[in-house]
Amino acid sequence: MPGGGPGSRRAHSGEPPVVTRQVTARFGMYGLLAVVGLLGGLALGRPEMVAVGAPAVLILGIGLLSADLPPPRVSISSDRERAIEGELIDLEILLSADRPVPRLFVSVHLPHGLVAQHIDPGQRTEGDPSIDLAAPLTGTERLIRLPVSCDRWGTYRTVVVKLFATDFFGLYRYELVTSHVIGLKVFPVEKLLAQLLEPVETQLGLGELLSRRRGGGLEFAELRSFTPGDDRRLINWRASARRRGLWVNEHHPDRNSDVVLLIDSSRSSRGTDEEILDLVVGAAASLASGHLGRRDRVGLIMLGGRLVWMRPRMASAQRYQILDALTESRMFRSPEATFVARVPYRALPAQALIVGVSPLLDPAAVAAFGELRGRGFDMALIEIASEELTPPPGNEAGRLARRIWLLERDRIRRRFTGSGVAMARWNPQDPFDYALGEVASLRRSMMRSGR
Amino acid sequence: MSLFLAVALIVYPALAPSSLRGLFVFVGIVGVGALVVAVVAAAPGLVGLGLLILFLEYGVSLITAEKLDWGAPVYGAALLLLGEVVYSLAARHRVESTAAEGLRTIVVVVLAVGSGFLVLGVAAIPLPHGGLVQALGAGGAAALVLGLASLARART
Repeated sequence: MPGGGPGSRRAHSGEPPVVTRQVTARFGMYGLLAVVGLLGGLALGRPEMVAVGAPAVLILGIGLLSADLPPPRVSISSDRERAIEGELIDLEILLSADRPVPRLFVSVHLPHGLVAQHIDPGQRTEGDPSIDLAAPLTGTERLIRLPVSCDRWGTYRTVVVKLFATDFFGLYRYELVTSHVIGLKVFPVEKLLAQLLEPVETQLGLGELLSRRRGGGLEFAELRSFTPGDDRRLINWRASARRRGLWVNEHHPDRNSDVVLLIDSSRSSRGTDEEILDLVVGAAASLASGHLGRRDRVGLIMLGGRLVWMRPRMASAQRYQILDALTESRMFRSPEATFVARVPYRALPAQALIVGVSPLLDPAAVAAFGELRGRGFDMALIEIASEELTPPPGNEAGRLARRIWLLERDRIRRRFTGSGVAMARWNPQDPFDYALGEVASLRRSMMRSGR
Repeated sequence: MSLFLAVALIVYPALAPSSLRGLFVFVGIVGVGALVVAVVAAAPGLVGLGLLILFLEYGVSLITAEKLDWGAPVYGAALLLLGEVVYSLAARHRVESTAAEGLRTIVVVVLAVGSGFLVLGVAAIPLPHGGLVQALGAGGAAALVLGLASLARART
């Protein structure tokens, strides 16, 4: 039996699927011709009518006596369990039956985000996302490979497959609907960021950030006079020759930081949820990858109806855990409960840099950001300019409502910047780097001015 | 091919020597119109209606005929062939035709021609006791219809 690679898994639905049988329009057609031929022939006394109706009688008789199709079986697997947005995977559809089923059609209903490739227009029905494939089963088993493009990140758990079969004369239509677990995770594309944010305070772990403190490292900090116990290798002989006494070099230790990504997946009811979620998840994936590459410890908190948190950790395993969590993101309504009370202490270590990515549309999310800032966390906020995604209003009342909404957003923005949060608006038409660069520049100037 | 068949099925009954030729053509056009609608609207349920109208047109044209029409089996084969073609066009699953579909069409045509000529051949044999034969025929037809109906009920 053909099988997938080591990562593949072939799954059947839990409940045994039931094959339904129904008569087709062709049955009605033959039935009508048979009855009219026989009865019309008698009524008119014309054997020609019976001659025209006779084949219909024969076809119906043969079709009814042989209407016994072996129930077909189907299983689906993907050639891998993980993919990256934009990649192609192969879905393997294995059809089997006890006897050949020459008229077998497969209709595959892929979830939104997975798109079948190399499909003729005739294999799609207008207004129906299913793909129809003729799959005559001439033996007892047939494997169909369907190339599928992973167009959107996400977790794809099930694929619905419908099997249609007809008997020789097409009088009956057999239908089997099954749902198959494929467990495919499509990770968002992690973009390489030109720069990352630096925290006010570093942690003790070894990393690529320069600590403000002095200690062992590579980056020169300053000169100081020699004190007993100093390593002789640190003596700067050139400086010592110019001054009286011995002088030693001091360095900035190379440290890492704790970065907590605060992702807002609160439902906004503005019809732009999916676009916003794509932006939020893409930005979070890029930030996580960038910071982990810098050997920072990265954690994740996802706001929304279901609070998801991951304590900051290093290593590539954390990257995959974050990506896993991101692929599960959905838009939720925010709860009323106080945010910080629900987040465990370990998820928000002291001196961690909190990077928020949010459209700031949900009052509960805005309150959560405010609450964190109020507790003195080092925080940066990237606001998705959701007004760029909403179509312009068509009437005067709409324009007035939009102006009020923009004013309200401006007020929120001022509140955060006034409390010392470096914040930038991210226009979805621009790369994420633009907004991140703006926040980094703001933070540098704020650190210089001691805010 | 379906266009040629449709025209042939409209014209054939109108060739009968009758004053209702115009009406036959009109009814035939209505029948073919139903088939066209079935294809355009992807409604296979209308195929039976279209064929029925064409069949009735043929039946009415036979009323005034004096001799046995030996073209009836060919007419029946053409009618079923047109039905198969239109049904394939109107079916929701427009997938490539398979060899099995071609085989089915051939079987349908052969059955139509074979059974049609058989019926006409039997009908052409002069038998005594015509009334008795007619009664037997009526009983046989009723039995066939009832048999098919009960079989269909059991299988549905």
